[in-house]
Amino acid sequence: MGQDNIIHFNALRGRIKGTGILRTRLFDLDETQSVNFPLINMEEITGKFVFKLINFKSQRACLELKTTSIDEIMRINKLVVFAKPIFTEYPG
Amino acid sequence: MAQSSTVNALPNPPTPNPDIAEGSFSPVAEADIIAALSNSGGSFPALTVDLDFTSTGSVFLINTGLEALSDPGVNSDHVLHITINTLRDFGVVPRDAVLTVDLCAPANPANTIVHWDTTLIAANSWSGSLYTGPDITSPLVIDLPLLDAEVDAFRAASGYTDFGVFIQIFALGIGDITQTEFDFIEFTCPASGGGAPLVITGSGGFIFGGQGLGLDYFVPDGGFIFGGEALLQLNPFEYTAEGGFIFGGSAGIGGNQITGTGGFIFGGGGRDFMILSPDIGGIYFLDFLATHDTFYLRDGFQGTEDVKIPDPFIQTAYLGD
Repeated sequence: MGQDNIIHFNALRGRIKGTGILRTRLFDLDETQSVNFPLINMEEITGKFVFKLINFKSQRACLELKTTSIDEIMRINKLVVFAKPIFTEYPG
Repeated sequence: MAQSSTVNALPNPPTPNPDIAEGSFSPVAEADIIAALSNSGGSFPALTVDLDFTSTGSVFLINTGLEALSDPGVNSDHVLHITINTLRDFGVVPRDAVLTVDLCAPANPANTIVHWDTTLIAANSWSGSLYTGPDITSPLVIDLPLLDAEVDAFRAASGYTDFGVFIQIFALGIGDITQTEFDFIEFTCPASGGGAPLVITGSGGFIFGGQGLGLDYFVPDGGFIFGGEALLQLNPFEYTAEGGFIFGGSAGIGGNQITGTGGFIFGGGGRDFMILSPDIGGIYFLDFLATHDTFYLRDGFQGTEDVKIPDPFIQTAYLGD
């Protein structure tokens, strides 16, 4: 811990309900790079967790969830971001 | 909208002529009709008049109260309504009874612009005896919509300030056509300065407003509006100009959209210059069930407009080890 390793963020799982389309992405420090998850079509009744894969490597990552149209609602109760340290530092 | 006036029948209707071979009717008191119309407050009159048939036709002079300036170029939805309440008591042996309506401007049948006719009794009705059939379609309602081109023709021939409606019934036969009642005439036009939008499109156009001017859309290039005492009331107002000038002496302008490039607006000492909606806004009204924002219109406009919440989002803290 606290090594600022380079981490491979690879998946998102969550309890996501609502209406409309949820746009989800990860971006790194200062937002020098970002990657979008596949769009999530939200429904009021799903009966399951949402699971989306992604491929993003950075020392830090911020997860953003957003809607962009009128009357879209997101209701999120649980989020799990799967990550694994893969490198200790960038090449000098 | 239309008002009603009543003109009584002639005090002394003409003596029926049993030898009339071709009958038509004439107004019994044209001056009374004109007076009734003049008392209608400038609206489009509805008039009830009892008519007697004579052998000559004549013209009803109608003043719709429209002024050319206050009705600028609105040529749609003009309709002449004629209701013949009772068409009966022919007292003749009619044949080829045809009702014709001619609108002429000015009041001269020779300048007929719109002609309408219908056959009331077919040609083979000649039987040598008096007509004893039922009333002919009582009431007989005639709606005569005017084409835009016909309205244009009226304007070219002196406008609507005075035009004639020429009505005749030709009924070949023997005998006389006795008194018949007509509920007559209603003429409807779009409201002055409203209704269908006026579009003026041109390059280098000038409008010098004297005492009043109402426009809906004004789209000139290099246009000038010099408002002396004019109130340029544009509703909805859509003004698009390149290098346009508005010199407002005592003028007021009310509208909701001005779009210009390099335009000048000189406001004199007169009235405020107001640009209304889309200047919309409001304060937040908390509603936990709302899924959108709501704008409350102001400055004379009422109602609300629902808009989206600007891209609501959630961001986590930075994830890492």
